[in-house]
Amino acid sequence: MLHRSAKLFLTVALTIICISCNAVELSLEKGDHICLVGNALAERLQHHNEWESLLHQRFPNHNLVVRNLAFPGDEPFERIRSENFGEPDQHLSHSQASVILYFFGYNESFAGSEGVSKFKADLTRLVNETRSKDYGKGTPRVALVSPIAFENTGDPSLPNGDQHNERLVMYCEALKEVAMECEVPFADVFTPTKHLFEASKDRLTLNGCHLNAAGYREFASILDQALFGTNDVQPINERLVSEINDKNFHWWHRYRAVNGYSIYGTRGKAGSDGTYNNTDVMEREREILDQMTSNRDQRIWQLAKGNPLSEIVDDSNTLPFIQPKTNVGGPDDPNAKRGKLGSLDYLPAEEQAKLFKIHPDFEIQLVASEEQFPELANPVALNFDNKGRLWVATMQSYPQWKPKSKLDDKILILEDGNGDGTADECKVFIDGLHQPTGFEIGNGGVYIAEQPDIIFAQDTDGDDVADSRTRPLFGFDSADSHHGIAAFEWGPGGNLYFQEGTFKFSQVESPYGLTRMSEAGIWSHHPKTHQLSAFCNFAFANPWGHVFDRWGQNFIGDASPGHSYWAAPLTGRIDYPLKHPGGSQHRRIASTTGGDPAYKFPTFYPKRTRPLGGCAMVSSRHFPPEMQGNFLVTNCIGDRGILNHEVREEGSGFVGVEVEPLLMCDDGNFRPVDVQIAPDGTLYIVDWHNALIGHLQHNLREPNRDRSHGRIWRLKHKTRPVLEPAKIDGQPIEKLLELLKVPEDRTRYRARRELAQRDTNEVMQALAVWSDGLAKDDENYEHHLLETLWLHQTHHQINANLLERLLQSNDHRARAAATRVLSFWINEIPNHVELLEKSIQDEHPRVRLEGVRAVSFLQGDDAIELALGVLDQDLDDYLQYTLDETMRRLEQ
Amino acid sequence: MNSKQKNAILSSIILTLMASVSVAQEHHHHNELQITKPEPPKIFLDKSPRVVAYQLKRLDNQRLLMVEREATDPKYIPVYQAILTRPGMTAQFRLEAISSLSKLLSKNTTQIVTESISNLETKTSEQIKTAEQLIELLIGQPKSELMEMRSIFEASSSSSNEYERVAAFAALCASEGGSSCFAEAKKSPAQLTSLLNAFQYSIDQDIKDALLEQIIAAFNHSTDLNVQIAAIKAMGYAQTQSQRRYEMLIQSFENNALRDASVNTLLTIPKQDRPEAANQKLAELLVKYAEETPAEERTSNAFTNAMQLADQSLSMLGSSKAKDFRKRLDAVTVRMIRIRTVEEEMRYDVPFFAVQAGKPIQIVLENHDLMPHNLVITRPGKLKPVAQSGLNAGPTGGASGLAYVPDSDDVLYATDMVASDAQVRLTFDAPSEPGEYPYVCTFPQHWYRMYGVMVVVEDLDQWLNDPQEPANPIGNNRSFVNSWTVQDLEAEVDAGVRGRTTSIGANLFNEASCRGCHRLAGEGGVIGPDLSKVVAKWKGNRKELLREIFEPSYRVDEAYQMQKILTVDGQTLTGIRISEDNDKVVLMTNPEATEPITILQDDIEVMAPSAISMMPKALLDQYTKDEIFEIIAFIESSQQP
Repeated sequence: MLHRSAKLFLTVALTIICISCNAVELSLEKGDHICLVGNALAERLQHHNEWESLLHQRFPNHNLVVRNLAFPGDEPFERIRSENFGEPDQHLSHSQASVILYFFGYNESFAGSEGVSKFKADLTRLVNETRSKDYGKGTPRVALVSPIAFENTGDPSLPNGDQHNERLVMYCEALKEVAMECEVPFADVFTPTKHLFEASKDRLTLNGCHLNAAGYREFASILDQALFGTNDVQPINERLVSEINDKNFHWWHRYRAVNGYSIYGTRGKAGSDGTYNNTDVMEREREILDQMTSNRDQRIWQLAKGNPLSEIVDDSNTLPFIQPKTNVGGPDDPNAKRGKLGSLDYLPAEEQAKLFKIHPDFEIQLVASEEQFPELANPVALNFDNKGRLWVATMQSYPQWKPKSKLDDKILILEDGNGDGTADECKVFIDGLHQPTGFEIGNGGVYIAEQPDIIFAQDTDGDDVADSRTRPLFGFDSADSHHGIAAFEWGPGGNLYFQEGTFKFSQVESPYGLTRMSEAGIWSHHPKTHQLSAFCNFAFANPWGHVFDRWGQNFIGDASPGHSYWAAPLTGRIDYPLKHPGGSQHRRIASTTGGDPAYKFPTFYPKRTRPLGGCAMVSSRHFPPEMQGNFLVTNCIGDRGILNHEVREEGSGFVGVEVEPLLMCDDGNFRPVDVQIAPDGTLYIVDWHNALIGHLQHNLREPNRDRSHGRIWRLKHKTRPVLEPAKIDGQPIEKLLELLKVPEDRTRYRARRELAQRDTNEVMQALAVWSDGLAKDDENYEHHLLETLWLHQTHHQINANLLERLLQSNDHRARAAATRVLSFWINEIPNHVELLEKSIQDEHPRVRLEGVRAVSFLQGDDAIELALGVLDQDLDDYLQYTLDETMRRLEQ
Repeated sequence: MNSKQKNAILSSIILTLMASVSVAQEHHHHNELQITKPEPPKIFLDKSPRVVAYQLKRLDNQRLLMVEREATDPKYIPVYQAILTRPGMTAQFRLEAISSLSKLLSKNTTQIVTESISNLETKTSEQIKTAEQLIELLIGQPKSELMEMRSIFEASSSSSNEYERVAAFAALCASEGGSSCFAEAKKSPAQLTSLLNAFQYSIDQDIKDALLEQIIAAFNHSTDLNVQIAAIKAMGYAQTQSQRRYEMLIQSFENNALRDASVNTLLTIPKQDRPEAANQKLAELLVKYAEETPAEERTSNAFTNAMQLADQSLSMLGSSKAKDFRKRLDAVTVRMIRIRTVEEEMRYDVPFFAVQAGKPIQIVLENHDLMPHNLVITRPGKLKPVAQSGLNAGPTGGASGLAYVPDSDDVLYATDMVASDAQVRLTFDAPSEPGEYPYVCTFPQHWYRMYGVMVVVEDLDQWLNDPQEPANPIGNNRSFVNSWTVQDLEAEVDAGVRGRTTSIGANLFNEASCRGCHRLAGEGGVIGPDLSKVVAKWKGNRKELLREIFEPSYRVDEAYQMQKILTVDGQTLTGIRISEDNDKVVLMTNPEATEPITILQDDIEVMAPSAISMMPKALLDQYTKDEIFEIIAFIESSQQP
């Protein structure tokens, strides 16, 4: 260890010395167009604009144009993009690049010493190729920017960075050598950020590898000096930062436009009104955004020179919008004929309520509507906080923000003070959002999908209004807003799962390396370890449903085809570009993702009607006993209702059968898109309430897309009492632990969510006491122990003894769940092979399946031998699939 | 054509380009090749049969062959069984598996093959092809062994497995003439169908001819459609009683359900055996059929086949009668000429055809070869310049965008490259100027063998009445001699090579384009193995030498397998591996390249060899036995110590 540190020190020292003798410096010329290309370090500079401000402050008379073309995860020659996004050259030409700053090395560094020669070869090729081009301003000048150092945050759940920095030094050295050989400037930001991190009291990164807001503020002058040499450090001009924010906001919405697949991709041809299709209408908007970005460049230059500036930006020079004609209505409306269209004559909620056909034991109640709360227009997702309050995300900008309009999608809190099931007050928790296709509460704040990022908003002063918003997760694709990140769900072990749909090509960076996933899947993120990885790499269309049962088995609903899957066989590891075969989009992409193109992964019950907007599993004493465990599905086109399925175990998996729906509605505008069991045990339903439902069937700017309606309904049993909502928010840990014994999955879910954000040591101490005190003869003892294990996983506290205890449980459901936990801890449980051998020989096929699934996280011939052990017993189809896929991964 | 197909074609284009490299390069010595083999896959042979079968099933052929195996240890039995029944395996490895299994299981080879057929899955077309290959292997077994197993075949002829039944009947026919089979097979229509389907295999012609009466009887007595269709097909494998068969098939043509099968068999009957009256009747029926076929069905393969038959029929009528029919046909359909490529032989099956000047015509080009081919019609006398400039046009083609089709006034009409097992239709008005218009595949170097002539005439029916074979468009005055096999030559080769003249052999070696790919006596191409030590390699065994020439895919020297490399950034490169070590692979990818290219191992995602040799078979089918022996004598006389 000592030896390694000494070597590291030497190398760092060497780096510093050599950098000073690097003769090539970056000089800027008047009118230069600077493009940033590379990974997340660069990409996030457009959300933290202090560096760009210093640039204009240093060169006030240069009238510099800066365009950020970076994407998280970009490498010199591997930059995955959605269809027709355009080659790098196309975008560099569009921006007329004269100076290109390349930010590479962090993601590449995970390949270690073996990857250095390829990295150097790629960089050399990239530099040489770039300099052979002309993007409209002659031969572009190139500079290489090093990665930053990895911060030792002191957080025991995060890497301390020693190994990272050792690797990063090698890659900085490689960058420097290429820069010397190619005679291009090299900006070393590794050394100064390493010093900075060591000297700073404050944490400057989100997770060790990505700067936080304070980190970017410090980084501004570091990058400035590394590029242009030491200078008297100027204070950052905050006014200039805010103008640059506005410029980059418009650039962001142009370059990273959501719905790319419907703008320049295949579905650009859709939405024609006879004259204009999606491409025509939306590319015009992108031109307008280009003009607005340029207008803001001018203001930046004026401000940098110290000239006065009008308060309001003059955008009168921009092109007009193209407004397509409606294709809604008329005798031949194909969407009306196909039963997709509702009615443009919207009914009052009271009238709509009369059109429900409800299961005889239940009744419907209006919780909230736009009539009372206009902010509720276009509701899309719901959740309940730990105070038991309803939260709803709304998307009036659907399908996409229009330039020059106010960007104002929201998350609302709907308070029901007297507990009668009717909302009394509507609070705006956060506004100014763009397409919050999903959200989830937890970790002291709210995670909000805002493709291509996930926002984290916090209310630090308790006034129910967010006063902090950051972008902790990024690199997701923005090819399609209705395939955007949705169905956030905390797993029982503290992972946050969220899903994206087809056409998307995402690259996410983490302290553990880069993960790519194309064409849909489920991501998982552990807030303690900051693991961000592909959990279910499978070609869904748009998976909008995800729910865990009492024993941690999960089920996924794919919206467009209406397919519901049991998840375990689909969630072993398989890496880009491969995918597990059999999703609804598999055939189209099988030539690159592998597998028989004709193969279809079985749904766990036969689909009768599509689609599937959201799903829930009945777990509520308010519902009659015979409905417990039923799988509920919202259908917003075929039936417009809540479909109901009984589920039972069969073989390794589960089998469902459809039974009488909970409700249907004869109002064609009833669009149930999300559903959840509330703290009082009733069922809450989000009604998007729109005459139009298909996105593909109309132009993105179809004038009849409704922007004013939205309703929340509550389904209640006629005779069974509602439950007393559990007290969770702010409760002592001991009381929260007791809630883990409650039958309702959602109550335990919220209790876990509260426990997850409490202090780890305090939780662990209380948990040990609670767990020791559990009655061993309680029929739920094994489940209580499982909750104990899950809480360890949530706090990333490895407990090998408890894990082994549960692997030997007399309940196969507990053994299966423990095997799943083992798959997450596999690198930290030394005897994992021995444990998995037992799982794979288990008497129950689900445990065997979880065992084989877990082997996909290992490597080598020993792992193959381990997995093959499952052939000692007969395999059902799910097990065969899991074995085949684990083998594919091990052979990958 | 979608982009994937296009890519497949482009990569095989590169592949075939390699076949034509003829640069003599001194510095590549293949026998000193350094090939580091990838690690063989680890198979847990000591585990349960289920585990072993599962693991072997996951391996592709290349990796399966890398699995360690020895004919002395029974644990390797599953490996040999997998090799024997794998689709796409070369004969060399199948035979190795058969003999090894025979030793390990103490059974004769006939038993081994028989059992392999009964255990075979026959769901995919690849598996069916394997079954067909194994049936051929079975009937090639010693007659004595087949006879010994008669009772087993009799039992399995009523198996529920279709290919097991066919194999049993084929073996019975091959061993004892099959006369008892028809009695045996009468039990069920499925059995009878299998028996009739056995006729497509290489059973002695005498046996097939002797059984024709029984085939006809089966046809006449059965009411089962499958039996009738199989019987019609089987009739096509007989060579006797052509007139009678012809007349019978014309009758069955009138039955809609039997029409397509009847057309196919009618096409096999030599023109001279078709009685005039019957022919006239058939012509009438075919014209009527064309008129009654709805327009949307006139592009089906069955219709194309029928129109080929109509064309033949019309050519045998008097010119005036033919004209009348032709007029009626012209009113409903463009005249179609179907041209097929011949698998692994690099030639079209139609050497020439005639068209009426100025009239519309449709060529249906079916590619049955593994390589892509096109068809380009040139102006008279322009075959060579067009074909040679095709190389320069390259895979992206000229202005037309068609691969290897040059921008030239000499090109009249051209198809795109047609992928393996695909077809393309080329419709155009024939030139108004009568003459001999060559057609050729412009894929580099294919023109040596792959060409034909479209004869444009003023009066088609007159020409068809008395066809005149056009001049060979590349000045080759050779004509087909024989489809030579090793068996045809092996008995005589030792005597045959004596007293030959080196200079004659040397000329023939050049003429037959051997030197394009092989080095001998210090000159020649590098794409095929250097032949200057080939005699020593086979220890003077001339049979093996013959096999190298006539069964090029029997075994492919590892160093000369085409390697297809997929790089990590998605590029596909194909070529011959010059050398390989832990860091890099050196590949010859392009005949015009003076230097091979180097690819870093780190950049390689997959490297996979092709099981089929790049060398066409039938290269010497226009050469006499004497000439073949001259070539062999020349090779032998040019050996280096």
